[in-house]
Amino acid sequence: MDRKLLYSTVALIGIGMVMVYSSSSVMAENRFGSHFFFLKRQFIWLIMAGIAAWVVMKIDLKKYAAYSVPLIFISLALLALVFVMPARNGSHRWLFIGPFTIQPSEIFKLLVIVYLAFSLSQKKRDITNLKQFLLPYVPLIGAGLMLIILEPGLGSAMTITLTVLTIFFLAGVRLYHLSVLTLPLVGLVSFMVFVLGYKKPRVIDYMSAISDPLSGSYQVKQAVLALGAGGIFGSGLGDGRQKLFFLPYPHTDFIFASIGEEVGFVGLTVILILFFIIIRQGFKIALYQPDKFGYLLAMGITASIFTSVIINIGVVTSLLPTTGIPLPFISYGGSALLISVISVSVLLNLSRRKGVVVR
Amino acid sequence: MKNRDSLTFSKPRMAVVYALVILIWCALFFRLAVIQIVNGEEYGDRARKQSTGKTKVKAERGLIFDRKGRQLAVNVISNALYAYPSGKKEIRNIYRYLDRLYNRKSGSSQKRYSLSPNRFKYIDRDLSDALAAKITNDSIPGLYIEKGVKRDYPFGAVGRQLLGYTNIDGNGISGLEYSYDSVLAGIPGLIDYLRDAHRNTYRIKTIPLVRPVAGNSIVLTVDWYFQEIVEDELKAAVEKYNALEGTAVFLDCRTGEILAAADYVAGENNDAVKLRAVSNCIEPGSVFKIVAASALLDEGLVDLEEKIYCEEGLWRCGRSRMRDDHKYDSLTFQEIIELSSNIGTGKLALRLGPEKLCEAIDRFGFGQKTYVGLPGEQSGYIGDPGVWSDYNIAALSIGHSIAVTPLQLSSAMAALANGGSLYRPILIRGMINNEGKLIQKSKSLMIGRVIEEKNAELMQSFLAGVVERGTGTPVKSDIVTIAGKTGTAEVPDLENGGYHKNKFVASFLGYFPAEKPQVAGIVVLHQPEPIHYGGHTAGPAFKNIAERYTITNSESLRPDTKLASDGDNDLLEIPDFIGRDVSLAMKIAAKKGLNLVSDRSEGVVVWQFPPEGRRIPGTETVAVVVQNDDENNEKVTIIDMSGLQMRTAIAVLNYQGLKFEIDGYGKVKKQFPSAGALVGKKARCRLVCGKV
Repeated sequence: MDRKLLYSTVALIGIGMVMVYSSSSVMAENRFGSHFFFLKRQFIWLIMAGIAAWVVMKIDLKKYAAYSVPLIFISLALLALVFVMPARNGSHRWLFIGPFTIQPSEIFKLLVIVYLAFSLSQKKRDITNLKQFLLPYVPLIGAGLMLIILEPGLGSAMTITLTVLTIFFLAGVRLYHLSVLTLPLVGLVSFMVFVLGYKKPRVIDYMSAISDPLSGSYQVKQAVLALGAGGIFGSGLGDGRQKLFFLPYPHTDFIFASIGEEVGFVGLTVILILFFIIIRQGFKIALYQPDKFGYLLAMGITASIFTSVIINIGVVTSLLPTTGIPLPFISYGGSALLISVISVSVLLNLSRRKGVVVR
Repeated sequence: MKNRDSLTFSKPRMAVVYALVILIWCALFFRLAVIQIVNGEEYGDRARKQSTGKTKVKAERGLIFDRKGRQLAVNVISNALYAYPSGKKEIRNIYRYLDRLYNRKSGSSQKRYSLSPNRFKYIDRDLSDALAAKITNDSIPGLYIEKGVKRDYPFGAVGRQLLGYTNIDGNGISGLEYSYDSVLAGIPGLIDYLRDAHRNTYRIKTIPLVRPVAGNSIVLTVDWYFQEIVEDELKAAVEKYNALEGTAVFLDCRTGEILAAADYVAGENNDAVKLRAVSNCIEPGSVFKIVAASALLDEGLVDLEEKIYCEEGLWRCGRSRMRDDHKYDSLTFQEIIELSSNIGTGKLALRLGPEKLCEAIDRFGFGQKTYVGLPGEQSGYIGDPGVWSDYNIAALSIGHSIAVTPLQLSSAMAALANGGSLYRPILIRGMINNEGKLIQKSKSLMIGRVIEEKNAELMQSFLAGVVERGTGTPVKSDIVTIAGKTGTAEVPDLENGGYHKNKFVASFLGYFPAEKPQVAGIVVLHQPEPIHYGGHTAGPAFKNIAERYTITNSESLRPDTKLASDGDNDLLEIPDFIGRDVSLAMKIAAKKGLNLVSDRSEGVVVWQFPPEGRRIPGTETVAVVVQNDDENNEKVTIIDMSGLQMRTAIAVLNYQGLKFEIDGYGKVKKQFPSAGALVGKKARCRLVCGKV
């Protein structure tokens, strides 16, 4: 088993628990009358994630991979189901089951990776054939992405899109075919924004916010102020001020800014290095896989973690337009934690396959 | 290109992805470095600014001292109870607790306070120490005690009309606390605190950004022991002569410094917010005759040998009549003053004419504010001399149809007593900063001369004659020679015009000692009954005040150089001993660290001095007197007075009804008869006092 991967993940989850408490306690006390409200829930999710991870580690993934076909339809149904659920913060991203909330887009993300690894590694599949490439995947994944975009969950959609494109790229899809798929999309979006003027001011704001983050949206401005206030060494654990309702979502989507304020550039560097170790180990695991299924699965999961991290940090540091996406292992949020832990346990499972040597 | 189930992935494509990962990672590091290191300071300042609030902190309020350095207004720790509940459950709990704490019907706290979660609310801003300790001990979640500072007046009600009040926030709202608020208040400091985006306050820093500057203290010209005597005698006089109210003002006639100023309103809470001696005008009556008399002497319009026909008690002047209480045939000028003949004064005043009389009134300071520094001061009222008839002039000379304040009268009398110099009355001796350094010293300000010196001496002899053989004989004292003028003015009838025939303002305006004047002052009683003569009502009160002043201040009244008190900071509050057994009283006193002396060792305490609630230094002694079970109540036991403050000893002897004489001043050194002697009430005691 890949110990570097395991320890890095455990370290990030530990950091996450501490920082969820630090950044949410004031709000939790204020809103729910208990400092530990969010921490407790996150801990319960962590236990469930641990059990799930243990199960995933034990099974032969290749044997069960075929189930991803029916499961992906179920997850599409769940994605549709969120629209009958009450909205939170103006979007339909969550299913409410008792005291817990589940994000179907997270489930969909994992299932798409498993499904693609399974499907693309089938012998009969000729990925270099445009018809074979477009027909099964584009309608299925496109439907899921449309539902997620409608939530609206642009961040999740971006993560899934980038992950899927990476898998296709690595599976050997011709670059010409990939551009047939992506260039019209890019063209359409550019046309809508710059010619039709759809959300043009927001895009222009975003462009100017890259050079001057304080001119951006309120959330990004507060995130950048928090990072700046942290400086090199940070204000000290628990001593952040931006979480006092200045920084929105200090324990979920903007937790990276909360952490940056309290532990500074030095602390964030440690976190970025830990993430990089996970991604590098993912590459290594993929490299040693005995079959295409394992290779695509490992790379798909690595890509999904990578894209989640860069989109989250990109938003917080005002490099990307504002969109809500959790930071894997760290942000408060049950289903995100569950899925990212399962993702790593899939990698760990793959690292134990015959012939895999990981250092 | 068919894939086999072997390692058939594209290494170059993986390398491309890996290179992209590293590139993006480096970009993120670079971006973070720009935000956190390059721009960190600027962003950090912006962030701290929005989460930092600034609040003012009150400076410590300056104290008020009397002329001897006694603390009159001080700051003590106060407890405020407030609620800051975090939820509904805590609120319910708090309601229940408060209902029990204040013994109120259940549910009444809910109506009274209506708390809501995460909202600050004061429950009680002035909590007793005992209650605060109990609440702290019970530690109810959401209920907290806030320590603050409140104003305290060690002398209780004494002189409160002068000192005034502060409100719960410590701002002066009446009296000197109000008029000297800017001096006492100091400069507030600035404290910054952490606040959230909803403007809730979190941590208040203990170290202020800008330190508050404590207020300056003021030192009054008033002698608080004398003030107490004046209040005591004024109250006794109002009650004894059934007056509606009384006013008294005394000042040092050589400097204009006010030594005492008091009001007493019968049957009313005397925590009045104004001092009537400066804020209420009276028609002075005969005491005002000193003005016309002084002018007549200065103008040389009266011959001392001359006999003035006093019309047998009824004088027709124009269409009006003037009466004397006693019918006189002819009187000399001196007799007119001594016997207070209205007709004689009025006829002589006609020689002055309106202009000269008006000038004299002006010169004596009437009709003008003294700016003594108390809120609500009146200037008084003088009419227009251009329209005065003869009768108007005559009436004015005897103190009618003019409105003056008691302070103006005292100050005028002080001018006569000191040989003719009118001083501006002052209430503030100086100001000291919070390090005890004198920063401003008031100088006595001579406004002008009201009478030539030789004529002032003449007036003084007339005024001494008033007490010696005139209308003021009840004022005559064995202890101190008093000079002055009586006044019995009719009260104007504001509804029907003219004057009430049976309502009077009785007054005595004088100074003492007559041979070497030190203190001038006035006692005014409003509508005393049935005796209404000033000489017989206000007069005796003036006499008592003069005597008690002389006994307690046999030292000369030279202005003290030392202003702040030393060692008087540890004041002990005197408990109520009355009704307790002597042995128990002794125990209580010992526990408090007080010295207690009693006339007998057994029995129940019926009297104590100083009274309950007063604060005294631990070096002073409390005297108590035990119930006299002697059948005829004729004999009393002499208390052990050695080491007793002279005023305490005098209070005991007065209470026991014994006559006494005193040598020296300070604390009692020797006493005759000796302690424990059983004496009759006619016995005379002799005390020798001095510095022990």
